[in-house]
Amino acid sequence: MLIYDDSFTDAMTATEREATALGAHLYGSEHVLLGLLAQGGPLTGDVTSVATTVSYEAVRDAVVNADDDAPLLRNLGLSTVATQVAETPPARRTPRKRHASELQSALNTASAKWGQLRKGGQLPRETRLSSTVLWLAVLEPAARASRILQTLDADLDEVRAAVLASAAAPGPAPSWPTEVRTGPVTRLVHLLFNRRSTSA
Amino acid sequence: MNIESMEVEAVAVEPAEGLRTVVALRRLAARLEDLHVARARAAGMSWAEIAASLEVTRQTVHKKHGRTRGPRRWDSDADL
Repeated sequence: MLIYDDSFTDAMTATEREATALGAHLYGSEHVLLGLLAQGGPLTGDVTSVATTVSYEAVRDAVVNADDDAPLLRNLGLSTVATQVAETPPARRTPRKRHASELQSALNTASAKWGQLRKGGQLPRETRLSSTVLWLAVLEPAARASRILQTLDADLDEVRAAVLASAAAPGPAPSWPTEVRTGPVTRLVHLLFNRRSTSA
Repeated sequence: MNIESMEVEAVAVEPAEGLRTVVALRRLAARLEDLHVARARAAGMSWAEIAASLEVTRQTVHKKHGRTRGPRRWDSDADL
């Protein structure tokens, strides 16, 4: 059975702090991304050295200003409303113990792919889950965080390669699976977990 | 932008972009709701009045917005 290492628990503690400061109702992948960047550490250092435009401050500004939504709202002539809303400081609120469905979906996909590489011997068979899986989850296309990173011109494939290289070191970095192969047990666990911990 | 051109703009997009627009609008609406509920509370409106304005139940609005750092249930100025 996997348990979490310090990098994972520190990132999740930072995630809760970020979501609370932003007045979020639910935990989203953007809060996990902010938590990872706020926590720092060698893996975050590897990411920010590859994606030089990505920093805690830049991502926080992008989340507050909803830069991923801005072009879509601009098309509808709602950019002034969006700007005024972004300029209002949010109320501090600890989210309900629920994930946004985009976060849960990204976590499920990333952990399944990570498990595939681990079982195939392409990543070390660690006994404890680290923040690597959280980084891989926020880079999944389903995650809002990946769109936030794209607004900062980050190359998601490059960032993912850096995360995998760090996880596989000193071995060669594996390529990230494009397909998720999950067995019936994993699918059942995901189904039950989704019902218990997501908002939708 | 008038409402007609907004409707044209909202409908005449690819389905994927249309769906992303719906999510963006939902997020904007949620933030507007947070903002105006906080203003309403600061202006002294009760949860029941806010719920009626939002066309939801009092329980719904209190569950969603009642966890901010404001007057707690046991404070004398908190309406129940």
